[in-house]
Amino acid sequence: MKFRIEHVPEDVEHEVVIRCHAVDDAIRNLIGFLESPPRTLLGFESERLRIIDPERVFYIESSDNKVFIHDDRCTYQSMKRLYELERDLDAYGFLRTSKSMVLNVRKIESVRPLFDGRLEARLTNGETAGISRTYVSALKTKIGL
Amino acid sequence: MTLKKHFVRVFWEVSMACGALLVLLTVFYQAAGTRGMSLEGMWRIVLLGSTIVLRGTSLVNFHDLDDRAMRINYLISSVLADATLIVLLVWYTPGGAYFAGRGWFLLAVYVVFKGLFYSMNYVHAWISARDINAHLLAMKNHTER
Repeated sequence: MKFRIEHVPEDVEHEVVIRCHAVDDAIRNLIGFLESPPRTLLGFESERLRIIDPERVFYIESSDNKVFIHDDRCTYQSMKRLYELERDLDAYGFLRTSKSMVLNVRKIESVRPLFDGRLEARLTNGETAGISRTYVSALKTKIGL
Repeated sequence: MTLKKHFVRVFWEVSMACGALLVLLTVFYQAAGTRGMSLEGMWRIVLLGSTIVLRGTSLVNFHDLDDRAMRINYLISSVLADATLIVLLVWYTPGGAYFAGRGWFLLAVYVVFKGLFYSMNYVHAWISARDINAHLLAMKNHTER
């Protein structure tokens, strides 16, 4: 896929033109991302409410009925449920990879198979995260395979 | 949640499954006009209930267990599920004693099927991992350009 950016004068409205063979899932995801309002994540860190940039988040996990957001700096506790964050962050490349984890697909460095048929994702920060068999096909779809 | 608490919960689930099977068998005996139940019949219920629940437990992803605990749970639950099924088939099934004399044969069949199951899972995961890694690399190269 080629990208071309044209700079326009200040008085001209921003415009995105998509030239494609057919409107497939990848194009629909792109349109969905462009149309969705900019979202920010909120999370508690040491009892202080912080604004979190979704682009910096590696993964979100639930444990003991609490939801934790992990970014490149620290871990925040979210007020939202895991399924709500999964829905909200879908356009940012987040994907459910197990019952307790939503992973930022853009932070995956590589994956390797495990003996029980699951995959283990190695993230760009060196951490690893398991991907259940159920969600492997969803991951493939998400990255355009 | 700790593994100890998890397996206490599994124990109560096994008990509930056995209770449900007992209710079903009681209704069946009532309909068939059977007046009594043998000790063997009770053991069959316990073993069948254990096999069903433990097999289910080995395959379910529990969001309150971490990755290491999940692997231990899978190992223990699947071995116990197989063990209870073998005991049920060998000791409490008509004709089972005949096959019990051929223990090595049964063990070989079990190992072959288990090996095939894991091999298929691993090969499937390996192919998925290969495709995903190739695609991730292509995406990374494209982004760098």
